Amino acid sequence: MSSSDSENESDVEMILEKAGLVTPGEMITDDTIWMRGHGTYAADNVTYSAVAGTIERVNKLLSVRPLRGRYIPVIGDHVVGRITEVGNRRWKVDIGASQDAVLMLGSVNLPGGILRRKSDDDELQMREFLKEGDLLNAEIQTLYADGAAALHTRSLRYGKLRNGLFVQVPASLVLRLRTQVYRLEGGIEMILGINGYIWIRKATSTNANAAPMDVSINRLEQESNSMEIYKDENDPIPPSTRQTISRYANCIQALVYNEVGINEARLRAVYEASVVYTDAGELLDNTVKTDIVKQAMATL
Amino acid sequence: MKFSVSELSYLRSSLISSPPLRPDCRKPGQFRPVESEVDWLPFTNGSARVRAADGSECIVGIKTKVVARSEGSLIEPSVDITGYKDNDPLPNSLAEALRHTLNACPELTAQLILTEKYAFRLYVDCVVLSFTSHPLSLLSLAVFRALKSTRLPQLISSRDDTLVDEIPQFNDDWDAAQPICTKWSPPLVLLLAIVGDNVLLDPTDAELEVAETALCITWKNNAIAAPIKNVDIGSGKNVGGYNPKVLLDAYDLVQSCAAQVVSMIVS
Amino acid sequence: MSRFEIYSPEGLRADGRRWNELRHIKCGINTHSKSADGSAVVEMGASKVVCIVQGPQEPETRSRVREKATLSVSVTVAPFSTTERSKHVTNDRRLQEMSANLQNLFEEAVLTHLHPRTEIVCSLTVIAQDGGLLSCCINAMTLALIDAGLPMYEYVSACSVALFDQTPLLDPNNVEETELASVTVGIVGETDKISLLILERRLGLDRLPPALELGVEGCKVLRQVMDKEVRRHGAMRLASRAE
Repeated sequence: MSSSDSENESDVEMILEKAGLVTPGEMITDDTIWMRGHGTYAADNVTYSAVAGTIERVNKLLSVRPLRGRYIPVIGDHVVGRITEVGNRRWKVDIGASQDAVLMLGSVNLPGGILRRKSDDDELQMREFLKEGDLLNAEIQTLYADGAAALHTRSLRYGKLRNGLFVQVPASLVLRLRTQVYRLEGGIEMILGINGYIWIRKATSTNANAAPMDVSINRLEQESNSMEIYKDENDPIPPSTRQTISRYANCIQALVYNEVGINEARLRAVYEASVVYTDAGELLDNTVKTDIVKQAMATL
Repeated sequence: MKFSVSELSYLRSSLISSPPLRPDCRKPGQFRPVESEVDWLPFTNGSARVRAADGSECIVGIKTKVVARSEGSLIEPSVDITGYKDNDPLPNSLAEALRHTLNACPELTAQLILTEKYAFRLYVDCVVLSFTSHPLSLLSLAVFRALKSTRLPQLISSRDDTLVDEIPQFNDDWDAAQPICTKWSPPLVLLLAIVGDNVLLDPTDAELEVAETALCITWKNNAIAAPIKNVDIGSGKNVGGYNPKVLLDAYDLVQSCAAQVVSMIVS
Repeated sequence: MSRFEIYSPEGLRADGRRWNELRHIKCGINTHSKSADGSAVVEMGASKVVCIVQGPQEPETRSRVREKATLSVSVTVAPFSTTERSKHVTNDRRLQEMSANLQNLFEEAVLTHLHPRTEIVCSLTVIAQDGGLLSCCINAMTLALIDAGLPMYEYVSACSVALFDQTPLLDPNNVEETELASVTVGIVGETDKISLLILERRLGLDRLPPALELGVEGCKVLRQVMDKEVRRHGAMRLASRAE
C-alpha cells in the first residue's frame, strides 16, 4: 500500500490544484481508490463533480462543497429555528435547511423536571410549550437517512427564545466556533445559529453565564420546573438596550453585504467602528456598510 | 404565522414608544435605500428597474398604442408577480391602486391626447420579481422612474381632425420623440404604517404585522394629492382603528420626507 | 419580408450573421442573491430571461412529497416583452407546455433523488423575446440551479435552428423564427446526444440531420459560455472568502 499511497499523494495534489474550482460534469478522478462523497457522482467508475464548488478531501473521501446552497445540518450544530407545525408528539422546525427539522416531544425539557416521563397530557398541551412561529435554539441530535435533522433542547442553553430580535443571514457566512453564544457590549447576548438564523437579546441574569456547561441536574430541574421557560412575555427592556440590539443587527447586515464571515471578534470590531455614526439608521447606506467593515477588519 | 408572540410584542412595544424604535434604527420618515436604472428594456417607450437592499425588485415597461379617444381609459396598468397566479388578489389590487393614481393625474392624460379623435393609450406593465415587504411603494417608485424616462413619438399630422378622416402620422426619428413628463412630475404612492400614535414610512413586513393599519398617500408636484386610502395588509386582526389625529402626523411626515424619496430615486 | 432578406445569396442574414453564428450571448449567475437560493439572467441577442430558484425546501402541498425532489416550474411572460404589447395569462397553453418541457428535461439532469421530500421552485420571467424563448429559459434555468448548489449531472444547454431551404440557420431571431420552420435542441453535457427536441412545423426528414448537428454545436458553445460565467463568479466568491 505504501507505494500506492505516495502515488495517491501526488494524485491528491493534482486534484486539489485543479483550479480549486470544479463545475457540474467535470471529471475529478478516474482512480477507483477514492470514496465518493457529497457533490459528486460516478459513471463508469469515473468520479465527476455534480456542483460548482471546491474539492474537499477527508482521508479517502472526496467531496465537492458547493459555492452556495442551503444549510446542511451536522450533528452537534447549535442552531436557531422556528416552529412551522405542531404534530403528533413532535414539532416541525424551520432551520433554513432543505427540509424542516423534527423536534420530538421527548427531546425537550418539560415543566416538572426532565427525568419524568412524557404523559398524554403533555401531548395535548404541546402548543402551550411551543407553537407555530415560536423561535428556539437547539442542537442537532441526529440525522435521518433522507438528510432531515432531529433536534433536542435538553439543556439550559437551549429552548424558547424571547427578549429580542431575529436576524437571518446566509448560513455560509456564519463561522463555526467553540461557542455560538456571546455576551456583547451593552448588556446584549447573541445566539449565532450555525444555520444563519441569529437571535439578539437582552442579557438576563439567568442566561448571564454565556454557556453554563456544568449546570448540575438539580439546578436544571429547578429551572425547568415551572412553565417559566415557555413564557411568551418579554422582560422589561429599556429603549437603550433596544437601540443597541438594532445597531448590532445593522452591523451583522453590514458584514453580510460585504460577504465577510461573521464571528464574535468581527462583530465587536464592526460595532466599534459603527459608533461614530450616532444615528444607527445611517448604517443602512451601502457605502457606510463597506466603510465600517473595512475599518473593522483593519483592526483585527 | 410567521413571527413568534414574543417577537411581535417586542416589536410592537419598540414601535409605539416615543420616538419609535425601528428594528433597523431607521427614523420614522426614512426610506430604505433603493437603486434604479432606466431605459434598459428594448421595444418600450420608457422603462425602469428598481431594486431594494433586501433583494426586492420591480421592472416597469411602458408602451403605447394609438386608439380612438372614445375607447375607454387611456392608462392601462398591469402587475405580474413572479410565482403568483393571474387571479391572485395581490397583483390585481396593486394594479387597481396604480390605475386609480395614474388616472387621477390630468397632466398625464393631457399628454396622451393626440387629436380630436385619437389618443395614445399608455400601457404601464409591471413585473415584481421578488419582494419581502409590501410591494406598493417599490412599484410606485419604479412607475415614477419609468414615466420620467418615457418618450412619445412626435405627431406630424394635423392636431385638428374634426373634419378630415385621418389616422395620426408620426415622425420615425426616435430622437424627435418628446418626453412625457415636461413640467410636471408623476405621482408617487408612499406606504405608511400606523403603529400606536406613530407613523412609519416604508414599513417592513414585520412592522406591518404589528401595525394598526397601513395607509397610502399620494405625492404629486410637491404636494399631497388624492388618492389617500387604507391598504389591506392582509393580517386581518387590525380592526381596532386608529386615532384620526395620526392622519395629520402622516401628512406632516410625507410633506417633510417625500422630496428626499424623490431625489433618492432619480439620482 | 422577401426570402432574400432572410438569407442573402451572399450568405448573410438580415442581422448580418452567417448561417452558423450565434447572437451575442450574455449571462449572469447569482443575480438576485438576496431574494433567492439561486438566480440567473440569460440574454441571447435581444431575448432576455430571468430565472429564480427557491429550494430545495419543504413542499407546499403534501402531494409534492416524493422520494425525490419535485421540480415546480412556472413561466411568466412580461407584457412588454414583445414588440407588440400583449398580455399573457399564466394558464396559457403554450406556457404550460413550456413549463412541462422544462420540468421533464431538468428532472433528468438534476440528481433529484439526493433531496427526497423537497420541492425546488423555479420561476422564469421573460423580460424580452426575440426568438429562441425556450432555449433562453433552459440556459437560464441551468445557471440558476447551479447557483442554488443543486447537484446536476451536467450543464443543460439549448439553442434553436431555423431552416432556410437546405441551409440551417443557427439561433434564429424572431423574424427568422416567424418566417421559417425551426427546431429547438437541448443537450446535457458535451455529448452529441440530444435530450430535448421540439419541432413545431412540418419539415422534410432529410433536412433534419444537418439542423440537429448545427444545433448540437451551438449548444456546446453555449455550455462553454455558461461554464465561463460559473467559474468567473466562483473565483470571485472564493477570493472574498479567502480574505
